[in-house]
Amino acid sequence: MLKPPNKSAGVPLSALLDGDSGESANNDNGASDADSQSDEGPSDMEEDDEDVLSPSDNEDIDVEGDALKKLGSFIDDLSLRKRKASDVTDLLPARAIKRRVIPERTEAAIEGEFAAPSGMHAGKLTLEELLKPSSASGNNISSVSLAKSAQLLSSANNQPLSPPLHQRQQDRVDREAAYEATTEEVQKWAPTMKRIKEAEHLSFPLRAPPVLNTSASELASKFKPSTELESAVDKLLKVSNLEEEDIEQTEQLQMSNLTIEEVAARRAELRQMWELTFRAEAKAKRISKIKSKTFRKIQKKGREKNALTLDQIRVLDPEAADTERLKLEAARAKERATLRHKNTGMWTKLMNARVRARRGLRRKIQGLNDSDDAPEHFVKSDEENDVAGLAARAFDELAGLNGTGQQVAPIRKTKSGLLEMKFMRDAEERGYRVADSMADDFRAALLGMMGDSAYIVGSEGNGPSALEAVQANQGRLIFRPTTDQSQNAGPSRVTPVHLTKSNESDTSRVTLKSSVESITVSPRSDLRHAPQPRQRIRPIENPWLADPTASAKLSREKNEILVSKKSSLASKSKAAFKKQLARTEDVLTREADDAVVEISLDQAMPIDHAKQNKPKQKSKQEGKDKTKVVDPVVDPAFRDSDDEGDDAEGEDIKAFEQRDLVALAFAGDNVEFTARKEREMEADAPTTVDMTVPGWGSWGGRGTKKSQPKPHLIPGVAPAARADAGKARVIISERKDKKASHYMVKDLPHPYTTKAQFESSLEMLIGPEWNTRMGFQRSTLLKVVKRANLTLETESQLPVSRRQIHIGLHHAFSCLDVDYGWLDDSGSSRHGGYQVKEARRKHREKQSAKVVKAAGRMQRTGMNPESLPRSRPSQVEYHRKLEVLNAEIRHFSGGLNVARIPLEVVNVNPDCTADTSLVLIPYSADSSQSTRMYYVGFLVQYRVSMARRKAVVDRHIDRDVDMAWMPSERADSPSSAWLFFKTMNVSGAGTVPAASSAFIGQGGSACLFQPYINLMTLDDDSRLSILVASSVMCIPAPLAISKLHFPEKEDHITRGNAMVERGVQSKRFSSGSALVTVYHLDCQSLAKS
Amino acid sequence: MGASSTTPKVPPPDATITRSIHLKLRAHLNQIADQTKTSKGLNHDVAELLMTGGDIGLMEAEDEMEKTWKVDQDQIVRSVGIDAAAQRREWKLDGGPYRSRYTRNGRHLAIAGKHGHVAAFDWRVGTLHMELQLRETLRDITFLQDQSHIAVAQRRHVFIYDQSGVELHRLSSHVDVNRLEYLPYHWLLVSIGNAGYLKYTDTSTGTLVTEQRTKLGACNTIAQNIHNAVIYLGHQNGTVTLRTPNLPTPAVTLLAHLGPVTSISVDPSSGSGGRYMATGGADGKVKVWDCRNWKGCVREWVPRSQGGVGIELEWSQKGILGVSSGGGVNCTPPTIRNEHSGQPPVYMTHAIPHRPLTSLRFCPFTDVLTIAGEPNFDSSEADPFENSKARREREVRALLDKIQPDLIALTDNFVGKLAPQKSALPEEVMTEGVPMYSRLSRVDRLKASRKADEDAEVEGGVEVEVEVEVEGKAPLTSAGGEKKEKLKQRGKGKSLKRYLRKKRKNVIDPSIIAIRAKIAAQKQSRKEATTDRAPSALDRFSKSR
Repeated sequence: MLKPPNKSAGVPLSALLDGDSGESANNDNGASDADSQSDEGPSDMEEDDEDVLSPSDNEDIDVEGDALKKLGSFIDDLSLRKRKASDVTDLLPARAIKRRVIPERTEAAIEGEFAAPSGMHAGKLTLEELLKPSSASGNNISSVSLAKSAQLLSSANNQPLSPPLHQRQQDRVDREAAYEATTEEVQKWAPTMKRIKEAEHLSFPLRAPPVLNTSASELASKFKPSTELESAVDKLLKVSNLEEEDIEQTEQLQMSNLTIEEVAARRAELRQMWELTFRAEAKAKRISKIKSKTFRKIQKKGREKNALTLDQIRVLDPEAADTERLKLEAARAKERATLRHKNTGMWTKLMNARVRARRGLRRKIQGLNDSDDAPEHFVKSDEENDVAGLAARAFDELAGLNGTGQQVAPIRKTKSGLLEMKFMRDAEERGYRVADSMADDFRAALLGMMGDSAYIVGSEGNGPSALEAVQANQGRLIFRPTTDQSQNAGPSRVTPVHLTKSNESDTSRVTLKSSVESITVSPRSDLRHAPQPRQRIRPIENPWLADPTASAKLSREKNEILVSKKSSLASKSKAAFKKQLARTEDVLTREADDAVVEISLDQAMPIDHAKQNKPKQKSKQEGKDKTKVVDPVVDPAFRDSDDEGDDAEGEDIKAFEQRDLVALAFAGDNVEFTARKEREMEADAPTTVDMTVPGWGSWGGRGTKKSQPKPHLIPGVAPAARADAGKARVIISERKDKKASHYMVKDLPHPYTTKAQFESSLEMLIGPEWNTRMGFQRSTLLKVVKRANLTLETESQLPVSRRQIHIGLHHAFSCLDVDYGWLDDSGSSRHGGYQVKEARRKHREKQSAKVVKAAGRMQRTGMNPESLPRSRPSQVEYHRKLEVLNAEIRHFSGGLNVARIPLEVVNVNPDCTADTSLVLIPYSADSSQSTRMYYVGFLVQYRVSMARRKAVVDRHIDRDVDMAWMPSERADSPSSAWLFFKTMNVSGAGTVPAASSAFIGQGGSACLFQPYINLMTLDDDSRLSILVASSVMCIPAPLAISKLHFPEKEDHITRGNAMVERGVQSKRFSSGSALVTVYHLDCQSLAKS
Repeated sequence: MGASSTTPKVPPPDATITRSIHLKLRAHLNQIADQTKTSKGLNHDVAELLMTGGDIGLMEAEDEMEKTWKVDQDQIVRSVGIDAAAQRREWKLDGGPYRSRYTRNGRHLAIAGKHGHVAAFDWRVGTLHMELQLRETLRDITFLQDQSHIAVAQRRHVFIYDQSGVELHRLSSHVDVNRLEYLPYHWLLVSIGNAGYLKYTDTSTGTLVTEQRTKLGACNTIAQNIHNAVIYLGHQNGTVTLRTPNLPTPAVTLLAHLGPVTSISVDPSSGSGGRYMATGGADGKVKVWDCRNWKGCVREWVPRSQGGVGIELEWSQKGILGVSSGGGVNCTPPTIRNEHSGQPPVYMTHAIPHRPLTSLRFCPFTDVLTIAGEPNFDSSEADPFENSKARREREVRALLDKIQPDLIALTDNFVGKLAPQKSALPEEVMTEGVPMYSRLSRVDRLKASRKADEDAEVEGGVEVEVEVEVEGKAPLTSAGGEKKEKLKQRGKGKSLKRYLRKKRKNVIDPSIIAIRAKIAAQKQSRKEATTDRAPSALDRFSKSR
């Protein structure tokens, strides 16, 4: 016999099913065993009988006399025998059947559902085979799933199945998976959200209904005359057959008068016209695209050929002909002026080339270089003596300088980059001008030394120079420019006049005596180079000393003729020189000294302050001044005093001292001003103060180090950094305007990273005074604008009656299309909603009234229906239903503490674009079962950003039950307010009552939001939420739902900060309440208001 | 310690921090730029529509020989329309030298004679509001917010009268006042007198805002800059001081004249923004100053008709400077602000011989209207045609819009701007000469952490980031001008590569030198080719010879 199968769990199933022969044998054996047993049964029994008898026999024999035992066995025997007798009678026929069956034992096995297959199956038994009959027999689901699981089992590579995860771990995995799924779902909205986030302005509803632009015809068709006038006009139109239909009719009539042929002809004509126009257009289009120049040339020629001649035009339109002629003339003049066609003829070109070649040849013959043929600028005069010769050489040098300057000039032109820019060129130009003027001055000085040639000072800015004017019309005097002009006209140019013999004519020149003013030229460079001491500037004339008659006198002098026409050239020049010298020496000195007292502000100052270092500065300054560019615009008095102190220093110092004294006498203001400025500069300058106190902070004795004195720096404005640095006559205060600085920004505000960015944001003023209406409105447009009264017809009156609240609530929920009953744990909806509850309340009231009536003692008003005993069947029912509800919520949340149940947001608001997941957060605030609360929040994608949403959800995943926002086991209103604020983005006014509504009664929450009523705008949607929150629901769910429905878009004034006035604390609520702070709220007062 | 050490040093930037791309900021800036552009465009359109700022309607000479100043008043009256001609008035009064003042809308005129005659009237229509004989010396007169209140500087105090001549207040704190000025947007009455005390009184509350001692003696000259409400005082020592109520000392002191300053006027035209100031001195000179840079006077001249009392001058809203000296008024065209040279051209002149002129006021808007053209007045600002209801409403609105005296400062538009950074930080916050990070300003902090947009220029609001990437050359940063090693991705900037790159940088390659030389030569030849062309007849017209 084979060993019996081991049925321990460790043996794999396949192994169990393996061993075909063994198994079958086993089975066979089993069967045979059974058979043999069943066969042998009676025989055994018989044997048993014998056995039974035999032991007793044996006992009889073996056992040495135990009467009691014998007796017992005897009794046993008796009973056995009795049973055997009955058994024998029962089994007698069975034995007969067994005998008949014996030959069938050769068959393999009994076929059946539960019998193991054998014989016909050569291979080993598989699970599939085992399952086959069941799948064949019933095609039900269970068998399929069984097959599936079996498949899983069979493919498990003979590994033992891993034990299931721990429940919590499993939950976490599930949640993570669910989170991923939701994220993916939400991502569908990402582009939309991005667009909305980046939008400069949002106007809700985003998909606004199209604005209907009613056309005039539409209006006209609807028009019905209503007023008297209108009807009168209408009647008039009707009478005169001028209405639309009438006009159409008349047209039709006209058409109907025509014959068919005529109509056809007309149509054909029209068609032809259309065709022609179309073709012409097409052709023009094609031609306009042609780029060939030849084509254009031919075209142009053709046009010109066809064009009318001037005479033809004149015949047609004389005026047009005139203009045409003018045009032609102008074109011709331009052509001539520009020399465009000069030397373009073939002959001319040839001749020019020849001339050039010849010239080149000649030059080669003469052995000249190209560079040598520069034209001579000046003709040397032979008559001049040594001094004159020297001067002439100097002139030549100057000319040479000029020449180089001219050579430089063309290079200047082609400079590129920075040097090409206008200001650089201007500066360069200025430099040249200064250099020129210096050269001129020098030339003038030379001339002055020579003395035999006259020169005239003219102003550059005055158009034709004075000399030219003289030459143009002799005999007429020049009126020199006034002092002011000559002072301000910039560097003047001295035009030298070379008197040569060739210039001899009887019309000799008339020169003018140069008086003080005429020679007085503003740039100091003149004076520096000119040795004539009298030619000096009068920067500021003394108004008090100015002689009213002086001007008349001067004018007389101006016209004095020094040299007559008749005198010879030499004598003229001689006389001029002599006179000039004489005047220069004596008369002018005296006159000028007396008449012109220089109150030079610039003189006064150095005398006062910088007397000692004056000589030192002088030499230094002179070198500087040569290169200094004089700015003509700036008032000469405004230049730094140090620069100017030396200009006026001339030969006779005495006279100067005199003038200085006079100037000083009159320039008290100035001295005082300078002193004041210095005082101010000193006061503002940064200073260091040695704060060390002897003996403090230092130790004495050997080996000690002496610490360095620590200077204390008091910041200030350095004189060079002042706004008025270098401006002698201005003091600009460097004081900080403390009061004004309150209106300035201390540091760069957040989003900006540079000052320029920040200032660009302030560049445009936004007030209506500086902008157009449209600009102002655009710049002050709110980011989000919601059309008022989007869905709800809100009324401005508050507090609203309870009925209205309920209607609003009902409206909100009906729009949501969500069965909100299960969201509520107050039982109200379970009890049939508000109406039922109200009805019940009324019923209670009635009953209590009855009781009162019956009792006859209590007054109706003093009765509180709520204080009636609670052990009523309805209360029992309520608790029972609450339990059902809790179970239901648990079911919804999938047995989890936190679950996301996607709500189908249909019909909500067209703006509510995102998918919405509802977060159910059951939280036991109290240990007692009855006060279990369910916080229902929600997360709407477009309100809560992805990041925040993720954070919230992550936090919940991490801490399974204990919410981060619930710091203690008690849910206090501040923390839940935080949650609402964060997740729903509600205003503070909405948050406070909503969050505390779970803890405070209905009236209480109404009281909480009462202070915020006047803060709400008319279209403030938070109102609804607040109303909802303070309504029968007594739970923040309504808030959530309402926010879902009417997401808050405007920034509320109480966002993030809502102050609740703390009322009188009631003892009744002070202990054991869920609220940390309980507000004693006078519901009665609210009801009254 | 030197000046250089006083400036706060920024700690060296941390090289590991890369600059983040401020996408949000960029979007924000772009948005602002868009907004600015749109607003400017709209403003421009409106200006174009109203034709403001262009032709201001001056009298023009037809040819060279005709001069505008030769046209006298009679000729003008003959040639202009009746309405404009009716605006020429002459009142001969006996109350001594008068001072006058217009309301801001130019409708009403108040006059105060030295010997006690005060009158206020609608000079267009000719209705007299009030007439008083106060029988004491009057020195100045001014309207307050509108024609309903008039302040008169009398012998001892300043009094405020209402439209019908009822004495409302006696400002006892204003003693011995010579000149009055009213700052309309701040509702401040400013006075200065012989004691040299400048006093600001808030006329909406009646409080004395500030009182400043000028220490410069009696003052006879006052003017306001309508653009920034700064008061300009002219003193006996020839200085002009600019004052705001916030500072006890003058914001600017200018030595304008030798001898006393007799008159000041600040250009009220909207284009100039109060940039130009004209002063007249007892030295007989008129000077025009540029108050923006204080570089000196841009023009200086001696008025033609001298003699008599000191120079009085005023600038009209359209930029015409009227100068009265002795027996006549000269008007200079607005161009005197632009061209800087001596004696200005005369636009109009009017001689009033034997009548020393003591006061000169331009009527708003009409200084142009009289000649030609239309005034473009902003009726929300000052409406000559407003009725009593509009006046009342404007008064309320103006009171609501009243600007605090703290906001008066020399620099306009300072509100909301970034305050100038402190030049030096106290030593306590320094650690080894470098200030603590937390004590740095945000700009410096950003710089230190390399987050500042240093190289990003704001061009029309749109940041343009220029990053030049050349092989072997890292992009330049503006800070310090040092070459910044770009932080590349992993594996891109291996140290060996960097080392090789650096090594390559200093190699002098003869081929490169040759190429450079060649390029330079080519450039030179090209340049020469352009200069050596044959001289053309047109060269004489070319600007740069």
